Amino acid sequence: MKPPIEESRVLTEHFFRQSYTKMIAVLVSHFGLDQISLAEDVVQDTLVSAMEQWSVKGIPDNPGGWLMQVAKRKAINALQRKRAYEKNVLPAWSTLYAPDMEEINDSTLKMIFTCCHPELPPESQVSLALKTLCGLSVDEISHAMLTTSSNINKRLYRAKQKFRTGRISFSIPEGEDLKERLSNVCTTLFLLFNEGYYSLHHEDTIRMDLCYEAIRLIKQIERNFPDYKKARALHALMLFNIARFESRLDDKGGLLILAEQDRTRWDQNLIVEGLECLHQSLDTHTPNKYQLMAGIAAEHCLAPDFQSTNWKSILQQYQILRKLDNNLLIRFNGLIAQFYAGEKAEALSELTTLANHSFFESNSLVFLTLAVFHHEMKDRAGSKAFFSKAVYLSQTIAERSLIENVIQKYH
Amino acid sequence: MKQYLLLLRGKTELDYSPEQLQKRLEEYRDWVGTIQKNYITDNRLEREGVHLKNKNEMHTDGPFLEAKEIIAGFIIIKAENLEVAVDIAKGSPLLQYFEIFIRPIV
Repeated sequence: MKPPIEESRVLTEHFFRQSYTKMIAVLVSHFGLDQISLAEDVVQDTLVSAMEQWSVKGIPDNPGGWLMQVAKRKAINALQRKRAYEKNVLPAWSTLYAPDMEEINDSTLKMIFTCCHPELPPESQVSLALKTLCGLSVDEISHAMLTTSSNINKRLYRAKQKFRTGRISFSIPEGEDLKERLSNVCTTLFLLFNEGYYSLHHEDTIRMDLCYEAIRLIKQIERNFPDYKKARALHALMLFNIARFESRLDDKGGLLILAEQDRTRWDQNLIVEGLECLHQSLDTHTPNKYQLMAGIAAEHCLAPDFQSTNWKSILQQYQILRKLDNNLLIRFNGLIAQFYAGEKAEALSELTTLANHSFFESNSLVFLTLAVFHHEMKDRAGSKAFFSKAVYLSQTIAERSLIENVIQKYH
Repeated sequence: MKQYLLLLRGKTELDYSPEQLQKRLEEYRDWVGTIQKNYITDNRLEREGVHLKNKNEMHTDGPFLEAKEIIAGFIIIKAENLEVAVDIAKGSPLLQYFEIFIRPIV
């Protein structure tokens, strides 16, 4: 007889996913980056075996160790079949024995640096990170990134092609290289976070998972490189955003603009944690862009309501931010701050110019903002035209409902 | 009470994500927990094996590079009658992944 289920062990949430990433990292660090596809097959096969065996036998005492042992055995069998035995397996075999926590951590770090290598095409980096560092399947990645599986496969393929050239080493860079690569890691993790945060499908928890995965990975970087303050600032930024995650949606899954969000639903614990992180990141004289973005997010989080937002401080931070990174989205958001900080005419005129940029051609939010600016400046006709354009450009139901909510409020 | 064999037939699972595999494991264990009074035994079958047609004709199954229909495992339960056994099988999460053959054991 089986023991009743109450008495048996249970796995922690996402255990398989996290085990996947650890096993891949350890196998690649032993058998080489050029064997990553083989490692993926082996680890997948290991998890299928675990699912089958644990279904009937129960979960073993040390599930992580069980998986690592089985993966190791399967990897060696697979390499033997590939006749790469003498070259690859013999030297690796002697050391690959029950890797300890330190080794797993070390391999995972190397994997993070490898996935964020500047030699890899940027669009491949996020897909690779999701597959290799977060343990998502190609289907799940394409779902989360709103693209097709074949697109994701292509991106992964391009990355693996680079691995085969041997120009990317599986290691932790040193000196100046380390600093540069850490910066690259932050960029990739920020993209990963945004993939989760800005995709608009209410029903899918997987996108929320992306955000938490990005936070998990940035924490790992912080633990290993406590002096690298940029990572801590990015962590703060992620926390401020995620604190407001739930309140961005109304009860029908439509998006809400900042002014409409129910601020009592903001997660105060996450905000406090974010402030702590931001505070700890502030010991350098030259601010980095994550500090500024986190500073801006903090101002929003601390304002009791939309009207009492400290727009002057936000505008100031945008002005410094623009010197570091003058991208169009930062400029767009900076103009909103400028408008509410009181420089209405200047902000409207600059946004009118910016909206003509081809980058914003199909961006409904820019035109929604123009509509609101015109409305607040008592130009009803101008406002109406931009509202229509925003509705016309909206791409998702959530976006459409956001725009319609605003229109209702103003008319 | 009579014993019933539930035979699972389905595709080799090659492309489930780690998250889905964990979910399958947990669903199954939860379900087995709910059929304690009918449960006798269960097991899964490895994918590689042999299909012997007669003394001279032998097919080797696996390793599989693509999804292929296989007999994946079995569960033995006891139940008052076939109808009850069918109801139990209908409640199984395995039905999402496998066809289930239900046969009374003589």
